[in-house]
Amino acid sequence: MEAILETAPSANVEATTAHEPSAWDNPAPWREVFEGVAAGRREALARLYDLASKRMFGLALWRTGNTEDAAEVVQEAFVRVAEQRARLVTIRDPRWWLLEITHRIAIDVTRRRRPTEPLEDHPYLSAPAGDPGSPVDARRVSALVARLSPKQREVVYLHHYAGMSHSEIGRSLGIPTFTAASRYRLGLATLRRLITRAS
Amino acid sequence: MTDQRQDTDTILATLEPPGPPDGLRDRVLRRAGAALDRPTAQDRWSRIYASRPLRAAWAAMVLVLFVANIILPRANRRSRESFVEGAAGRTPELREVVDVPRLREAYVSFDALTAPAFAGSRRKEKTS
Repeated sequence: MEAILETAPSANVEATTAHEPSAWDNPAPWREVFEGVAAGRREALARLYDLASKRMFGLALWRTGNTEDAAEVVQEAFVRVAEQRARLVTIRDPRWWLLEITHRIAIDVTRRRRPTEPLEDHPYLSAPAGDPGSPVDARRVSALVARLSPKQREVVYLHHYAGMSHSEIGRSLGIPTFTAASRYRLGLATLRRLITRAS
Repeated sequence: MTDQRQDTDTILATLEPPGPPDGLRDRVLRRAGAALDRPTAQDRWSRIYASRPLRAAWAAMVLVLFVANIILPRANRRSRESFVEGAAGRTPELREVVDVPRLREAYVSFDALTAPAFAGSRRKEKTS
């Protein structure tokens, strides 16, 4: 574990273990933003991008394993949001709906991709923006995350970084809660094993 | 195992997925903005729901079914009654066949056989 955690002082690690709440976690502005997009306002679309693009891009990246594909997924998802603006006001939970369409488009993009196309060296994780001197080697952990299956990666991402429960993941991905929980457990167990072996 | 779990959680919590690349925001807003300017694309079910001819056809069908529900049972009852009456008027034997006996008011139920009055009349028949 030292190899990945390097020589981090334990206090520093503890201080960074909890993610700070982001704009994504705040439920207040979503309804208003969706209503703005439904009314055809461009500034609402820009606001929606600022609120949601990070999580949507992260999910697309963890599902497709490719930065270009992930960017294409985000573009396509926003175009779909604009095209379906008439139904935005009826959507119960905008955040989970956005992740749901991101997931669907990511699957389509992955299927369209030619199998011979080489994948880049995936940067699944990076040091937080305000903490460039993070004690954890992001590149090495990314290489371990890349060895998970796309389905496991997706569920681990949704649980850890989008803050979704297993039942919410199940609803968004269209799979039973038990399957979502099982994929998460298997993914995390695999990751633990890989980290232990890498240490 | 608990240590391993804590370590994995710590690693995942310490790092975070990278944000979208620079320039994506402009591309997304340009494409999505263009989509926003186009008229709203309706899906198939919305188009069917909003279709005026289909609504008119649906209303006409409901009206036809409603009227048929009222008219057809009456016409059927009338034709059956007239058939029975006509047949019975011509041949009394046919009335016994067509008319269900248990629906006749004058029909004597099976219980009546055990009634005292009826039993007495049967005894009289024997002695005579």
